[in-house]
Amino acid sequence: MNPEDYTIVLPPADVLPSAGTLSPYRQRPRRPGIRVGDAKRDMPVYLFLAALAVLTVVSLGLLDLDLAKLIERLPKLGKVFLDMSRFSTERFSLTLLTLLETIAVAVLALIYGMLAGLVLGALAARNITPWKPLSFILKSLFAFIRAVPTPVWVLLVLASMGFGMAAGIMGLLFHVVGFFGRVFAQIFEEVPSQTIEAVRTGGASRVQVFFGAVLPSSLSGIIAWTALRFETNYVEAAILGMVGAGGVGYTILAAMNSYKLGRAGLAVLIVFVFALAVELLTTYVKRKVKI
Amino acid sequence: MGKMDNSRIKLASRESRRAAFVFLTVLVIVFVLSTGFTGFNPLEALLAQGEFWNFIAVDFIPPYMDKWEALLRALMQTLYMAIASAGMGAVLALSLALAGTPALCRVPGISSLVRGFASVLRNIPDLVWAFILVAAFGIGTIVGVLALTISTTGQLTRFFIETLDEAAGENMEPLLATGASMPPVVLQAVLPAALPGFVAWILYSVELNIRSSTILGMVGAGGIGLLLMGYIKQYNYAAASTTIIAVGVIVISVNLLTDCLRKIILT
Amino acid sequence: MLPAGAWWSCGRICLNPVLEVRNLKKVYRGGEGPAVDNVSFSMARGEMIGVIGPSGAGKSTLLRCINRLVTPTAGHIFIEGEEMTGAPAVRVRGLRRRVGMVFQHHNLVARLTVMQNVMHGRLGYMSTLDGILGRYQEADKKQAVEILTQTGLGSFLYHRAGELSGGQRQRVGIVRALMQQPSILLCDEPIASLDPASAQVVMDLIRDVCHRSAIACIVNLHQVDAALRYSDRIIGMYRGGIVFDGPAAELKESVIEKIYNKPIKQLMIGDGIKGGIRDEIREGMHSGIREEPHDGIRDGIKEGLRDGQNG
Repeated sequence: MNPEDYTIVLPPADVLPSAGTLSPYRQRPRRPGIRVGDAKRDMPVYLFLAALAVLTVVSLGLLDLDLAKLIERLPKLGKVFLDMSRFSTERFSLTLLTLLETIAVAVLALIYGMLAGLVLGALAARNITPWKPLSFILKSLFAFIRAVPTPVWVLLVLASMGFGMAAGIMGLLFHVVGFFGRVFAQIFEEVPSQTIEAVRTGGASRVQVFFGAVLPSSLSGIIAWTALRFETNYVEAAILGMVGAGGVGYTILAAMNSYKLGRAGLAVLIVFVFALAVELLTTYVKRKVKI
Repeated sequence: MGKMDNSRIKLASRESRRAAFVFLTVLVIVFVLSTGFTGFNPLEALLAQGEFWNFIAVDFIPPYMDKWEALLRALMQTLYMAIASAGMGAVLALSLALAGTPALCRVPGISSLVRGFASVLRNIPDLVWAFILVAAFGIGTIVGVLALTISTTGQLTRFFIETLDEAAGENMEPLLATGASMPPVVLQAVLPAALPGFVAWILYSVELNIRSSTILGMVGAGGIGLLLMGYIKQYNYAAASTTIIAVGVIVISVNLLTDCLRKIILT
Repeated sequence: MLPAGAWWSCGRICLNPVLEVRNLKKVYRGGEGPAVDNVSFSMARGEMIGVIGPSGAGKSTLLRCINRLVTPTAGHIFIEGEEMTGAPAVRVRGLRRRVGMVFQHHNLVARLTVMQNVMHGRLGYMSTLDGILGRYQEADKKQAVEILTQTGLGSFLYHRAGELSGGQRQRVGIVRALMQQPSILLCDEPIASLDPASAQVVMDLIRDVCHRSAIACIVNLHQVDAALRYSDRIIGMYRGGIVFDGPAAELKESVIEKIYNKPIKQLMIGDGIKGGIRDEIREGMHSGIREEPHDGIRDGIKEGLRDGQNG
């Protein structure tokens, strides 16, 4: 590279603006100057952010929010928080019991969902599925299951099976299976094809390939995603009660509805503390297995 | 070679075997405890499945809808709620994250304060926020928007701090070494490096919000959830099934759109 | 211009040193023992010091103490006669401008263009507002284009830094440091993650910049042979202290073995062993700089820097 290759024509130095002048027109003479960034390539990001800003404002406008009411009732929100912070231990054992229910529901849905997800994920992973179209069908199914919110599934189960923890577990399971099916399929697909080929050329059957090569190489991913899903599961199990299934969500709902805000406040605090514990655990597990 | 029969040769490293062992043990213990506590019998549930699918097949199929206009309006309302709260949440989260990243804000205590605040926002489920807000503001869209904004802010603050921390780790030292003060370093190096991460997380929160706003609607925050809840309460299952399909379609299309945007923006 | 080789002949005592380090000590919290212990040396303009020593000897800490990225526990650092230790933050920033730094992992912002990364070197000279908005002076930009062109990066001005090869990125890192118009250049393992060919280009560039623009240059090096070949003066560190300080030619093999606690043969990778290296060094010193294509670069950088100072 020699200096002659350099062809940008620059204005002589004395034409260039000096440092101190803060005239608004200083920036205007938009180059013969030298570009620094690459505006063209940065454009998509900035366009996205601008579009988001515009859409946010437009959406707020279209939602036609009652701002007057919002401002008027703001002091009431303060009062609600204040009342909720005056914790009341009335029927505290019920709160704890329902929290345990919620956790148990989350755990069982997680475990059954994981087992189903492993099988379905293996069938849906493009590299190990016994039948290629099956992979596509299953993945679309997972996508649809996950697209419908959990409370809707729970409501449907409730409508057909009646109330109870079993309904909660079944309702949660839809999403858990849809989630694990997709995630596990993705993890399995990331196993390098050489690994699978190497075992397959050794004469291993499909099942042997799965247990001998695919599963061990995906173990850390499976552990990490399971831990992550437990976080989601716990939150979903907690809010199930609010659409009518049991658990700590129902306790909160009932307390709020009867204006026992102190009792609700304590229940919310307990839900929060456990959620925080789960989050810390998840972060720890994620760091341990490094995904 | 003869030794092989007695002491098996270990194939995996000790660490990974231990991790798998701990994981499985924990899983079995919580499984047994939970099953004992709930008395959940998977076989029973499996049998009940027949009933469930029967219910779906008889009551939900074929889907039927006569009030398309109401459906469309509700869908749009849900979309507005999701986008507006993602946008507002992103702005709030960015300001919180800038204060909450220890590498950027050296005032002691501020970082832990911000993180603690964000953790409260996101670890209380949005539905609980909605109930608290309903107690103050009464039922309405505003509750949905506020609840979603709160949980989005909590989530995004966590992710933004992670992103900023990563960007600051590599990019700050050389710029500080040039003698620059903190604000230009953040704006010229840290934020540009963190921007793609921000965009990815915002897209993710839009996806989450679409789903959450449906749920919030079910407790009275307006949008498609409210409509759906109404149909279910009226036992109008055919219309409910149309609504559910509509929810599925809108969620999937938004996911496809965000996937597409991710590809365009982040490469 | 001073004749090549004049820099190191001034030895340990310099008049008007550009950098003076006196009894520097750094103890990290939770670290065992001091990372840098009672280190003193001074250097003249245009001198190139190679700091060698095993990992953990305190080389990186020493460099980072000089520009206060790490706050020293005790001791004094004078940059062009001005004390760096104990200075308030605002003055530290002013002093940092005069000290350029080149990092092992080049530490460029991968998503930004080469130009943007290079212009970051000017941030220390700008008002906070101009810095935030990225309003760089046209004269500075012109200078950046010139230096980049002369270091062979002229056709990569608007490439993203992440798209360049390791050697190119390191050159961008050097240009960024040069944009500060430094009187001292600190290079922390600049070639540790480069292939031999790129490493040579980068080291040639650093040496040329140092000699021709009279920038005092401290280079931490893992490779003893590179240190011997390029430095005017060698500082050998072991466990935080200086165990050797003198012209490269005086560095005895026994000293190297003591620093690294390893036989010499394991330390010389690539180039010839023993006497061969010595001869080559001497030759290099006296014939000035060997690779011809760099003449343009040297003059260009020098001119560029001078222009920048006036403009």
